[in-house]
Amino acid sequence: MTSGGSRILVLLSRTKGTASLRAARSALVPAVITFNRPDSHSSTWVWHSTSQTISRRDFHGVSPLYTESRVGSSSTEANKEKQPESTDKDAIESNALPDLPDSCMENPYVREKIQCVLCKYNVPVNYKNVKLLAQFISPYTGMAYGRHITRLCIKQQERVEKAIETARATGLMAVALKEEMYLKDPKLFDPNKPVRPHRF
Amino acid sequence: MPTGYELCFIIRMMPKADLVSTIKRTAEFIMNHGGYLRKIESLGTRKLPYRMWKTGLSHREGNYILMEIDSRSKSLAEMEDYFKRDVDLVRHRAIAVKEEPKFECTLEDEMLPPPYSREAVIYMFQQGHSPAKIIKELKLPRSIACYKELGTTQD
Repeated sequence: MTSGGSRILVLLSRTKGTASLRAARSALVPAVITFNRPDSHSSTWVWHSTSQTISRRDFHGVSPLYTESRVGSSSTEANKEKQPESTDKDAIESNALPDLPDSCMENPYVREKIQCVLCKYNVPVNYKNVKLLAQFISPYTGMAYGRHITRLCIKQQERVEKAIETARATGLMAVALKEEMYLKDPKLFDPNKPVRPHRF
Repeated sequence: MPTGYELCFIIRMMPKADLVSTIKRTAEFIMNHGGYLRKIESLGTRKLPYRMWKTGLSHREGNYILMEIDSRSKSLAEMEDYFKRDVDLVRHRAIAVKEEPKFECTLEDEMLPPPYSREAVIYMFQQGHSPAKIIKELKLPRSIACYKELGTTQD
């Protein structure tokens, strides 16, 4: 059933369709081929004008970048020859289908890092700032709370503890108590809900 | 000179004229003994956080004065000797001004369980019980890099 000048038809039976198609692909093929089935629409496939075997992935027009990541895709010689051509990043991106994931992109769903109160708001710790330091001491004993209560990072906790020491030595801050004017300051943490129990 | 100090004084309660003369006296002493006076600041006259004694006299209120100076550590030692003997200066303290370097907050790493929070564990390891035995046995240098090479404790 020939029709048309340059078109070549391949008659296929339904049961042996794939096998004969594979045979047709592996043989010498011209630039364009079309075939008609009585009950199906016509489809046109563009073939590479080479005489060598073509892998299924190249046939379907999948980008080499995609094929590289698949296991066993670089087994055929044809594939290996084509890979060096398209190692250029721009070439790969232009060849890639737009729906494919961009492997070069940073993760946009990265959560913000949890920071301690002083780091988050960039608060400078100074021995003269007694009001700030008094927020990290117990109102009952006047002792500085530990890291498991204040929820500060190690370095900030060190800074605060040193500043409290110098403030007390210079005579700016009370030692055994929290002064009345600092008792109603806002609470940065709940000392009743520490990471592990304490006796202050 | 880059070595900056903050001298924090507590001067006992006295009339304003006497206070001015006391401050002058100390400033002159600092300048005559190798100190470069940059700034004199008053932190107010208020009740002291705890009772302080100086040569048999108790003080509950005082005048806070802050002086920013540049000097050598030897000259500072001389100055501190003088401040100790002055009856008017209830308390004195010299604090070196240091630029605190910026750093990233490590709270998230610290909150992770020990196998994941290796950096925090190494830091605490260094701070607390210095693993002198480990350093001796493996003949490692005293740097944080050596703890990374040690691997997990189960090895």
